[in-house]
Amino acid sequence: MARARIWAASLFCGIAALTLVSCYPGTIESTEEFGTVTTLFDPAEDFSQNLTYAMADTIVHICDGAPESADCIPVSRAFDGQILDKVEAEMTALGYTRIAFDENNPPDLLVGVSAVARQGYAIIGSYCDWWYWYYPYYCYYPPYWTTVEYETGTVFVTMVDPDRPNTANPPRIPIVWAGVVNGVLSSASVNAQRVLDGIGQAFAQSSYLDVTGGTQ
Amino acid sequence: MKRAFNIVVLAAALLLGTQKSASAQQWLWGLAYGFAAPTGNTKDFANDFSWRNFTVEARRINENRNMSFGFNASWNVFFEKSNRTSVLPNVPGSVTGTQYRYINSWPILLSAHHYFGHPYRPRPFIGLNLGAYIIEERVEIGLVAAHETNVHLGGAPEVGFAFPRGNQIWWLSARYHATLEAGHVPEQNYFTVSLGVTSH
Repeated sequence: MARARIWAASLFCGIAALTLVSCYPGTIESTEEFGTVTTLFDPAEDFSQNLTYAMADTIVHICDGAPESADCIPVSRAFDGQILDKVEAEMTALGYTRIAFDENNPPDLLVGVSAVARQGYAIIGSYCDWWYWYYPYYCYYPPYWTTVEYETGTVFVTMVDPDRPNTANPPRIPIVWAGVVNGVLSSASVNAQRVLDGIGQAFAQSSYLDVTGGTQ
Repeated sequence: MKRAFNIVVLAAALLLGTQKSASAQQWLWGLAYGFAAPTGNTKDFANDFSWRNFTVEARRINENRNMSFGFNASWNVFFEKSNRTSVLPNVPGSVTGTQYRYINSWPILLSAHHYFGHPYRPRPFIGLNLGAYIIEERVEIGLVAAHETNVHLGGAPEVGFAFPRGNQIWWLSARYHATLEAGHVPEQNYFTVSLGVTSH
């Protein structure tokens, strides 16, 4: 009987261990998996009426002038040209024509690109792992906690419709579309490619921006 | 090896506090392990063939050993990792990225079973399980996660085959779980196939 109870206890412990690890199976395998592309739009905007746009030739660094407590990280300008060219190429593909800004004859849309990079922190606990065949699953003991630092970067592409009446109080910039490319930073070249791919994805998942009339 | 295996099965029953009943009606206590396949909304959320399916079962069988009533509690996990675009809730927009999607489902059900054929020979049975499903849906994307847990009403018709073996009854059964919607989570559906053993 005692032997049977030992077997039962072993079985119970095994099931309990499986229960603990199986609630959330799957692990993140690379920093690229933290990347997201989010797009938001104003449902009241009739995008089909927009044909022209103006775009600043500079990427705004949101953290410029921010206090040190904001945990900002300097953002390189080495890839600004590629990023702005990518946005222009996507807008052209969707049927928009870029024009110079003229206050007396404003374009249908004002497109802006901005960027920010910040330090983030997380506290993680000790973890469990698969190991040797004779001791297949174990958890580190004693449990410990440690702080990890990570750096995130975000590039915003925004569209403002200057014709929209700005009746909000206090006044708000009438952004009618925003594409947000966010991720955990890696090497500069990898980051740049991820930004370019992310901008492409932002436009790809916003089919309502297409004003070509289906000619693309 | 065979002896050890039998001891494990017996021990599992002992762990659950089984006692041989002196009455004609007997409580059968058991464990089952199996797999699950999602359908419908569950499949849309997490398209996963899951091996994480576990059931604790209790059945009180009548004197003629052709009917039983009882209860069971299960646990199923569905997991999907995919790169997909999803519509944002509450705001007009979309998000794309690597998504980790989880469904943890804990059905707690009352059961009724009818057994055909000779009680001490292999025989088929049918059953109906009704009760509550505690279902947690969780999405992790980028550095954020969203989850929702609700209690859904639902049930699971069941067909199976029982194999008496000494004081134990081994059984193989299939259930189709269907729940009503709850909170922001629509109806859920999934199949389970389980291999279990009961003892008295």
